[in-house]
Amino acid sequence: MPRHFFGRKFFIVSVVTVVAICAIAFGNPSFFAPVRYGVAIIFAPFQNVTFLFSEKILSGARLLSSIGKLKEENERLERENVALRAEKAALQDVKNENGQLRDQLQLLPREKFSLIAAEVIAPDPLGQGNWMTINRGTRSGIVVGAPVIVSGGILMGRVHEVFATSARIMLTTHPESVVNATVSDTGAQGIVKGHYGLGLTFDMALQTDSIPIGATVVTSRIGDALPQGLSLGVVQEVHPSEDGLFQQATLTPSSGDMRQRFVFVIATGEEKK
Amino acid sequence: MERSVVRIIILLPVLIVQTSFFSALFAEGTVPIFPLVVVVAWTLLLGFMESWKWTVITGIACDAVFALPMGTMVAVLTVSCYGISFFSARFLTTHRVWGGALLSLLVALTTAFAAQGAAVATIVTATGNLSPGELLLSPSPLLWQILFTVTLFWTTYPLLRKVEHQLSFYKRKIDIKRHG
Repeated sequence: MPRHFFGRKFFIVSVVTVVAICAIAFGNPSFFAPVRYGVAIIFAPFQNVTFLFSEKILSGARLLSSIGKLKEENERLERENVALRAEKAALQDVKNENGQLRDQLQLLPREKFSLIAAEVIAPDPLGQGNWMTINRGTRSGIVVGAPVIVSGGILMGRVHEVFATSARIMLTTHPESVVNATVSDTGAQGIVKGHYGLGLTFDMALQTDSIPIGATVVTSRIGDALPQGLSLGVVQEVHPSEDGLFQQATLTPSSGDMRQRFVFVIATGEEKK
Repeated sequence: MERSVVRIIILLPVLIVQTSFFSALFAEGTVPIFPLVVVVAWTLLLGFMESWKWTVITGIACDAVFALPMGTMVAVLTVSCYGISFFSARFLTTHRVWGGALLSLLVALTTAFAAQGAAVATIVTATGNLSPGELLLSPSPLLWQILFTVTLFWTTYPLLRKVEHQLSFYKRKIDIKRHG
């Protein structure tokens, strides 16, 4: 082995790495909270601008790539328009039916929440789909733990850190995220865990419970601050857990690829009177 | 002093671009790692002994901004830069073609290492354990991430080289003024 390998450079690298690993393993996350708070306040306005800029570039690129398809798209839309008019009439009946079913299932409609609209200013910096930063913070009344949803009552995640003008959201796909959930069709209870930005796992369901493929998994009220009935995902695959005691299911997140421009923070998590 | 200020001025937009521009522009899992590119460039331009402090500062800043467990990017970037320094000193990195290819390979390897390291640290601190299935990132997005990071490196490296060259020229000018 060359002498240089164990030289001063190697000593520095070893010391820095050991200190860093100790910080990862034993460090208290709240110790660095003031640093994160300061950085978030300074960065939020700049992130807002750069994010908007990236959105402009993306929409420009999408426009360029779609020019060739515009004629075809127009014809398709005209056909779709006719079909949609017919469908609209049919949907009126479905709407009424949906209202009755909602009452039966005691799902919370969106109108019952105090929602704070927020704009996403920074998705996950390393693109792993675990975090997002929004442009609302303590000044807008956002608190740690508040659920974050998108239109249609789909749960995106929960507020993890709040700063004055921004907040960091831990998405449901983060491995640390755990949500009490239920299968809406059969009432099977369990927990939904994140899977490092890749998807969701419905776990701890009893072997006797039925988990049909394609069923929607929603939040349950059991032992959790989350409102009931927020959509989490759709069952894709069911298999027994490693220890054979429970059932597990792989879910496709209801929010798609978690890339959203606008989200809503449920202000208090309570229903409006 | 001037050098430190300039490097901090470089670092701030790098972090902003990484958090809100690249992460929005590139698909999930393919986002190039800009801070890695910058510290690798500094290591090549200044040598490890001068650049390691900036690597640590960049790592701490990344951990603070990216919401990663504190220490993750410090460890990942320091080891990456040591690797870059170790191999670039032993091979012909000054050669126009082979040197460029070797540097690209080194940047590619460090990108894979950084992405994997960040993933492992997040999973371990979040769940307390790591199953073998979660150990490796999906190869397809990782390859894109490597490609984008290498491209970014070859866009950024000449600019940073120019900045460092100007800084050393400016420092020499001040030294001459002071000491005659």
